[in-house]
Amino acid sequence: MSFLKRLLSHGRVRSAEKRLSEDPSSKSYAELAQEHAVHGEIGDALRVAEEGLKLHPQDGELKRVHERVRQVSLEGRMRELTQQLKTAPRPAVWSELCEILVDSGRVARAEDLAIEWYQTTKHAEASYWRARARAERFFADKRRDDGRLAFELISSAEEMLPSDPRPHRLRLQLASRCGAWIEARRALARLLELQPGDPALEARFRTVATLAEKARTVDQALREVEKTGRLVDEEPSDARPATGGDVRPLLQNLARESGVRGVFYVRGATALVQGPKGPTADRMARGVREVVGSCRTAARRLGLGQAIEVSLEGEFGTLQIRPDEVASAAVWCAGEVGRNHEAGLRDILARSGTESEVDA
Amino acid sequence: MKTVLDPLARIPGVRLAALISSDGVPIDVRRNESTHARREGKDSKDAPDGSAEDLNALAALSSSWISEVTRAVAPMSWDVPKRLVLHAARGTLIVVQAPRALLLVVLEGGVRPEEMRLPMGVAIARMERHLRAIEPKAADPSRAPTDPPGIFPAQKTASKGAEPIHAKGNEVPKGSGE
Repeated sequence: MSFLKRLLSHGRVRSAEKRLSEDPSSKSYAELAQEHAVHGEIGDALRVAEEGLKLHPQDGELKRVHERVRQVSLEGRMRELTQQLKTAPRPAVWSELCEILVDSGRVARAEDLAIEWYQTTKHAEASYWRARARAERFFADKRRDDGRLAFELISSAEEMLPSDPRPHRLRLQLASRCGAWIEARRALARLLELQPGDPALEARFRTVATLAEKARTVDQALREVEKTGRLVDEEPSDARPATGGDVRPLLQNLARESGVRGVFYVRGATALVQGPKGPTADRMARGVREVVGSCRTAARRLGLGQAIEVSLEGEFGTLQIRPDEVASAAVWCAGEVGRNHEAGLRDILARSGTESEVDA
Repeated sequence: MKTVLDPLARIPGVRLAALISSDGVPIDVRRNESTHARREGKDSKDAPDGSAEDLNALAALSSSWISEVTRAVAPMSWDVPKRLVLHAARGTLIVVQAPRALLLVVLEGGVRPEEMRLPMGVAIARMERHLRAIEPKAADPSRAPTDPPGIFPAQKTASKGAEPIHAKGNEVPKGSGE
């Protein structure tokens, strides 16, 4: 970076710091973190974003900035580790790289790396990371086949690492999250053999033992998760508190764009509609909700992962939907959907604080 | 069908191209060999393009998804969508109404569905041309007297041609082909 550029960016950082000291809002924190990131000071950016999140824990924009900065810092470490794998490969490097990939949500890449590790060195820990990556994929996509494969991979990891508690903990986590309590009890019993007298494990064993009395089998539990799209420890989307601001002005702005016939925001049983009126609005909101539900299920069953965007085109025009975990936004246009319409949908979800990053 | 699906399946980023009946029976499926070989090394259970069962499942799930969407939009007085795109984290499914069938393409993650609008339009134009080419044989008047009459002889039995394709915006106009 040239001296002039550095000087200018330092000036921008200083003015962002000044704005933050005058007004410690989430926006000011996000701006300062972004300025640090642009200047290449990733550590500072991360620190500012974390500080901002302590004050404004529900702010969607700040969360996104924090996540992006964290990803950038992990990218740097991943580059170093990839280089080390070429020059001096060793289990610690493979393991850390797998861990970073899993933590950053790149489970497909993590699984590929674990397979490559196993094929190269036949190291037992690779099987654990493969199982972990597949389990994370199941948590993200709620697909029965992923869950089944994760259980199989955990079994092989347990065989290869008999004294390591991690595969048993992973089995416990997987079984507990899908509601297979008999399997969870088995994992806890094995963990207690490895770590006898652990009070946390003992307490959990007692809880799980009562739940296991009328529990489903693994296959039934996995089928139920795939069907509902919800893990046992997840609360229903309509039960989660709304975290963001008012989305109505954004809906109105988008509805004013040329060619837009209707804008919808659906969260749980509530729908906000701009454009259609009266019973038509009700009918359309219900239709959009049903389309979102069927698209989510189809994406999961087809093994495509979490649905990000849905587009329907026909004589009626174009209906573009952005389904999210909690809420969904949709725009119905007479012609094609433009970039400003797409940006509008993203803004609506960002304002409602529901938009989540997904593994690509 | 080879001339319809092969050009689609060869496009980089396309996992597979398929023609399925509206009730979910695969008519013809073409995989992108380079993509398929790359994925095979990873995990056969990952994608819906592995075994024959997967292909059947893909066809069935896609058609049931379209039926569900059609059912959901029917109360809005909307007709059957002509083009459906399901963009997800690990891939994209595009389904387009083709003459008497559904043209389906599965893309790798990271490929934009808009890039497939033109090739899929071309594929449908090819199908229509093919159907037009075989239609006159069916409606050949010289052969008509030899054909046995149907159960309602008064009714014309000429086969119905391809349904019109409603081209939009940047789609290929009817019959332009390659």
